[in-house]
Amino acid sequence: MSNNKKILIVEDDQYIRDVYEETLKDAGFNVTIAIDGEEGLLKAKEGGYGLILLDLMMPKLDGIQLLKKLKENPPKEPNGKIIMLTNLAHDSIIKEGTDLGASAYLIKSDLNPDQLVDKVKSFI
Amino acid sequence: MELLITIFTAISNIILGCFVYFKNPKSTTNRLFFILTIIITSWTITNFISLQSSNAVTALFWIRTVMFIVSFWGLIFFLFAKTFPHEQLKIRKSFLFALTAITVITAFLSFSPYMFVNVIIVGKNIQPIPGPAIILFALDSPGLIFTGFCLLVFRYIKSKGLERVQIRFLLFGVGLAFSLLTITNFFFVAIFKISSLVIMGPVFTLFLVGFIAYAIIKHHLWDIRLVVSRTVAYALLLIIFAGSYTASLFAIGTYYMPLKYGQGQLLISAILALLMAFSFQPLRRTLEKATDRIFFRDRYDSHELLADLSKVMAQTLRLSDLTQCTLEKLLTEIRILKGAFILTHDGKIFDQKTIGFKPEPTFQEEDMKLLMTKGEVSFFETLEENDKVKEWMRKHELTVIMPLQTKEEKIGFLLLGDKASGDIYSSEDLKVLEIVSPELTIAIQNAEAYEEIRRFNITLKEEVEKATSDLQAANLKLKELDKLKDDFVSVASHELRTPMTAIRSYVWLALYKPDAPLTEKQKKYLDRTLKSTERLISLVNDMLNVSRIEAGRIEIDPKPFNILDLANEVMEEVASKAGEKTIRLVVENKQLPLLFGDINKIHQVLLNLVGNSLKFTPSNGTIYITFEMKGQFAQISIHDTGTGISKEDLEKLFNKFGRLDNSYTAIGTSGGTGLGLFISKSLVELMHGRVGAFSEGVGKGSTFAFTLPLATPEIIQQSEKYRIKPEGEIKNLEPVAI
Repeated sequence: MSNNKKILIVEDDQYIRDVYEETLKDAGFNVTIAIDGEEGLLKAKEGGYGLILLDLMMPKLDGIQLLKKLKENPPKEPNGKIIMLTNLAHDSIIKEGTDLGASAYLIKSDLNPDQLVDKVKSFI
Repeated sequence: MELLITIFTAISNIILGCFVYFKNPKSTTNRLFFILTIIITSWTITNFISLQSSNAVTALFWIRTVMFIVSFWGLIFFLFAKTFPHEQLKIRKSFLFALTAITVITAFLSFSPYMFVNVIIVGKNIQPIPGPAIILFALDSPGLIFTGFCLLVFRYIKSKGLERVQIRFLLFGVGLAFSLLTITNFFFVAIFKISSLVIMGPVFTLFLVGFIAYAIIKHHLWDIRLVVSRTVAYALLLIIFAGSYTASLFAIGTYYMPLKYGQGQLLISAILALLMAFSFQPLRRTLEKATDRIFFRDRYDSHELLADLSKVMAQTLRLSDLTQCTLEKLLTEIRILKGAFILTHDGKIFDQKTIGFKPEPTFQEEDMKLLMTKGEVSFFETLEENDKVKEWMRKHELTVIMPLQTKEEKIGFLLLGDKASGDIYSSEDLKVLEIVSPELTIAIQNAEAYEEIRRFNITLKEEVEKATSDLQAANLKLKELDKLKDDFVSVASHELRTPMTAIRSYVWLALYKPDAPLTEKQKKYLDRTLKSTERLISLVNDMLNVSRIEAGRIEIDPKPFNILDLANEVMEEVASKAGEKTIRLVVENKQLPLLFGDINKIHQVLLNLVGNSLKFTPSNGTIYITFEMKGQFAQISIHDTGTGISKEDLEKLFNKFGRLDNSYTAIGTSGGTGLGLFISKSLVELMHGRVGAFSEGVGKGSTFAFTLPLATPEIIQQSEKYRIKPEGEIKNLEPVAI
């Protein structure tokens, strides 16, 4: 576990985004949020995050496209692991994401907030 | 010398006449020609004799005889010219009577002093002195000859094809012969009083004979070519034999053995005769071959032609190719200038193939009706003049019409024009056509049948293709729908899960991270809300799994694995939960061989079963896993000291939503979805195992067991067979809720 406590959350659903932000902030992490894919990409390109939580189903630029663009243009300062967030049932999308550089995925509906924190701690 | 010429001329004339007559005794043309040849022969003989006369009296007598004969010449020739080439003579009776009368008078006048008064012999020259009746003669005989000649010329101009050629030669022969004859025998004798040229007379008839012979040979005049050819061969044969016999006899007798008459001569004759006898046949055959080659120059091998045609007919099944090739072959081999196939169905023309017609003829239904009246082969020459078919044939310049028919129906006609050589169709040609025609009919019928089958086959193929493409379209649609359904399920679950995530998260936060302490009631409310939400989420997960299992979208990838390790792992996972209820977890420590299964799916199954046991076992209970060997399988049993299962419920356990007593029993501790066992059962069965549940009864605990095959070498070898790889998208299972 690195010391980088910077986390980027890219999630378009406000309720979920707020819960994750609050929970992780309470756990002591430095949380940045992006409300859609485009913003997420911009922020990710800045680089330097210890972990990126990436929602897959987003309008405009979805998770997979973001991963693609990020792979084409990696930021100068690298990011940590990218974890995919999804409520979609284990589709081929997840495999695609893994091929494009994501490390793992989490099913949002399966996690209580404390479980999320545990998972994040294990990834960073 | 003159004698030889005379004899030869006489004999050839008579023979020619006989041949022509016997060829067609009923035809007036042939009869007249025969009479003509008799007259010529008689004249040849008498002419010769007259010239041999030693004194004036005999000379006069014979000359008069000659004139008598020649008088008839004109009439017969005229009649011949009028009739040729038809069978019947058409002439007005009165006209005929008049001509005959004049001729007869002239003839008899010949014996009178009025024709030739007297004869003067000056040295070797015999000079007859003409009388006044000579003028009558001049009008009658040469006159009629001239008229006849003109008639022939007219006919020549009007005729075409074979007839034309024949008349041409006839004209040449006749013209030349008669003109020369008239000059030498008449003009010179009567006017110039020179009879030295009369002896040349017979020679001129040779012209006549020669040209007619040529017409017979080359252009098949009267179709007596074969007879003539054979006769010539025999004549040559006889001449050769007779000649060589006499010559050898003479040579031997004179130079080698000057013997007297008697045995010597007899002996030699006998030997020679024997030689002749032996060499007869071979010589005859050689001569026949030679004359055949001369007379029948454009012969073809009919056997070869039939074989070729049979080959063509057997090889081609396409109708148009069949008719085209057969027609071409026939026309080329027999050397016919034009021909056609007309094919009909019920009298209506549906196909025709023509070669050599200029321009392309259009045959009508009426033509077919006309031709149908003839049941067999029709030849232009043998048809009657007033036959409509003959007219039609003349119009289209056709010589042969061959109907193509079976016993049941007429399927068409083969039409042939003249042969290139101008010859008439020989009996051999006829035979070939007669043999070919039924074969051809059958071949054509076969080709038509084949055509129909082919067309039917194409239609059938099209229908099948259409049906197949329809089916394929339908199948595609089904697949789409299936995929859509799956997507629907996936998307629906996703949509369900999103708000549930929010609910779960916020309820949890409210319960565990309140900014103000909660009352007991609030805690209870929130707790129940949270648990219900969790249950709802599990249900969605399970329903997704069931949907995927039933759609065959779950991949099973069995490999050898260690069940003991897996069991321990699962127990670890549930340890904390078990700890909450102080339930003991035990795994039998037994050494087992590797089992054959998809480890992820077994993980799910174990988790499900252990989870169930946890739900239904009260505090301080025990859950323990045991293992047994059952032949080629291993049985894994999960025992608990829980609430047990009644006999009725045991049956329904593995069904969908087959929950224990449909009520919310112990919602806090149980709360399964009702799908877990169904999913486990499905998974185990996909791995060739079985599931089962046992219980002594309510309150006596329960055992859930499943079997899996041992990972034997044989099974490992065939692991591909046990693999289940679904088409299209493979889905994984949602995690099992505990």
